[in-house]
Amino acid sequence: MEIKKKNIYISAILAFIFPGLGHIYVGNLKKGLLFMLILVSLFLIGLAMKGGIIVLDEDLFFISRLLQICHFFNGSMFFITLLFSKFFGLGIEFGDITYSYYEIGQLFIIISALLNILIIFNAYDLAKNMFCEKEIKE
Amino acid sequence: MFIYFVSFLLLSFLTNFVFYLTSEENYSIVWKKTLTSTFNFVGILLLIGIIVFFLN
Repeated sequence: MEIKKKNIYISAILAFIFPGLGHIYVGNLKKGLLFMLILVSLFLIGLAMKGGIIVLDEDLFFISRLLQICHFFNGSMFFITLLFSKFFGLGIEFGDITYSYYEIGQLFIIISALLNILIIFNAYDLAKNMFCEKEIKE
Repeated sequence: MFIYFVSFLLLSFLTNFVFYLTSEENYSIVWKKTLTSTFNFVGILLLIGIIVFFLN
């Protein structure tokens, strides 16, 4: 059986752009779709619970900076929400700190971003293993 | 309180599921490990809840 060579960087970048795309690129369609479904639903539940994707902290304390970097790993979901919110003037990117479940919403979005980091590494790893298998077979 | 509990349960389940899906190939093992981990997490959560309840 011939294994098609996959670019490790493209798989990682695709996984960053949208969760699950890296796995689909590597050839693992079922896992890719599952990751996509889970992470998008986590992100949307987070937004529904009025969690924000921009950290409101004037001094930008160390933990807040880390949190902001973490939000960035949602990839295109982060940018789409930002653009959508700016375009329609919804203001959902900050969330609603007065809402009772704001923290839970924030937690959902953060976990979606952290899981995306894991998925990026996994897609990279899968592509690399395929590359190694190809080299061994040759 | 109910929403907090359901949220933590959902987060625990999905996190474990994604974590085991990245490391395992066999789906039955993934389900088994996910359910065991979620069950353990809920147990620990309830234990902490009971301790905090009695300390108050």
